[in-house]
Amino acid sequence: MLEMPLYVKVDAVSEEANNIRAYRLLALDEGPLPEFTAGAHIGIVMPNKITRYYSICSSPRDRRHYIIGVQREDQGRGGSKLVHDSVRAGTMLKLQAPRNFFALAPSGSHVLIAGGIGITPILSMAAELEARGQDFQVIYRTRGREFTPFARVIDTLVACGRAQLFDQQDGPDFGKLLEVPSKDRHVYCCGSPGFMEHVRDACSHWDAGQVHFESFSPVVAQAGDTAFTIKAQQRGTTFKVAADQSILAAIRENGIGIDSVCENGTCGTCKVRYCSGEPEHRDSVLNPAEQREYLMACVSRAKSDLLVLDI
Amino acid sequence: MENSPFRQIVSSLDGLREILPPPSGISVDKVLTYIDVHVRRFIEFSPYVIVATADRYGVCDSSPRGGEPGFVRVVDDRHLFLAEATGNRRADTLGNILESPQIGMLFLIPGYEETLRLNGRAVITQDPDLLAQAESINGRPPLLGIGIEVNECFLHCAKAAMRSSIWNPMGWPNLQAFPSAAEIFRDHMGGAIGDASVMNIQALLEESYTKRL
Repeated sequence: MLEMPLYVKVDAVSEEANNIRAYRLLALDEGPLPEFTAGAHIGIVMPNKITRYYSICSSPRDRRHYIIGVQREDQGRGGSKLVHDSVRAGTMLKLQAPRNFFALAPSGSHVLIAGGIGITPILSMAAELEARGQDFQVIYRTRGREFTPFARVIDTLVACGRAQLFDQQDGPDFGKLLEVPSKDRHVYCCGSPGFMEHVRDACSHWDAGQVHFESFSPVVAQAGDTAFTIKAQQRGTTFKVAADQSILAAIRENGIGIDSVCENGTCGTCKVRYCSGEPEHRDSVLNPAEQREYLMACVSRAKSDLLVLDI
Repeated sequence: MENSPFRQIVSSLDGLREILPPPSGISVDKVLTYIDVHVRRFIEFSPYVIVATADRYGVCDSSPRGGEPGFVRVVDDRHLFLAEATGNRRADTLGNILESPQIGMLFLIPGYEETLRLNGRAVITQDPDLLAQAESINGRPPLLGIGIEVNECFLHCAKAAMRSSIWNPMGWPNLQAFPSAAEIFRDHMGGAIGDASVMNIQALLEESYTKRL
């Protein structure tokens, strides 16, 4: 094994909303679990050898348990269905220990924006900010009460003026909300790809270091994606990336080993330096300065016909 | 093999190597001829080992041994000591060692996907010092032990564990669909045990599993 797994047992399962369940996870010896920071996720290692990632929604200051929320996606890749169908109180799980690609800034004020099941990392962040005594505001959009998980926690946040709840129809107006960037203010967003795109557009004029996105959705080919050619500079080989194929997949198909974790442009693991050509960046981890030198092989494409990579 | 269902038998090393190229440098170079710090730690963490031996004719047997982690003692960088529980008194392993000293051991650590393979030569010993230090078995010190001289040892990769999900509880089978040991013993032994009811066999097993562990 490349990384030591973390074994836990499911201590409690609760129905949180339509198709959403919360799972409370304990260490096998019921002692403290490994440390994590707000916004972190764990991976559940599935029997088919794939790992699915879920944000921890409990407070990082309470290491007696991790609480995760899992939304059953019947159209998904099967991970959430397997969790819903086979994980009960008492089930043991093999985890990939917590990692965080969606960390809070150490200071300042924080706008936490969530859509649907994207509330999970936001809850651990809200708990942490409350404990730090830093200013924060949760903006949460769901499809109505029966689709709102962790309603009790959210009600409490609303009651103390820390959260605003929006129905899908009634806003909020992100353009207006995020109109004026401020130096010490950070924006965090987690939700469906469409929702995050919407929020991303609304803060496109913000400094990239002040906006943070977390995505667990698989990368999907976009309409109009076309094939292009990669040249591996160090090896002197050239190969095609198909219209529906990622650079990462094409590199691997050609026998070049490259590490990856999230494969949706969030974690920064498969960062590759490019020498020439014009990439089309689709990641949410590199800042503009980094994007002039690197690309994320899992999501990025090319605007030019040829992209020369330093591999 | 008479009436063998097997066809296209590969019967020479040359024939085998035509199909399977020689091993890579790593697979050859990873073999140690002594117990280093990692092998020692592996054995100290391991509560379970599968022991393979053969009789003078090469008839093989493999049989598990278990205890507290470290129940197999590292004596020095070439030697191990494994105290013997009386077990079922079939003494398959001990009988084999008397006829042929070669021994193969596969050490497991629960949850750890790589295994440790260790091959060497075994003797049966009543060394009082080693026996006195061994974990008592069923409240009594062990009577015998196996002394092992290491010829080679190496870490075996995780692929089998990964393919089988053996250490991932989510991949474990639903045992409700599998017969209990008592049912299997009843069918394997006909009427030869107690009143041959599953309940009676279950009671005998429970007594053995609790009082003579």
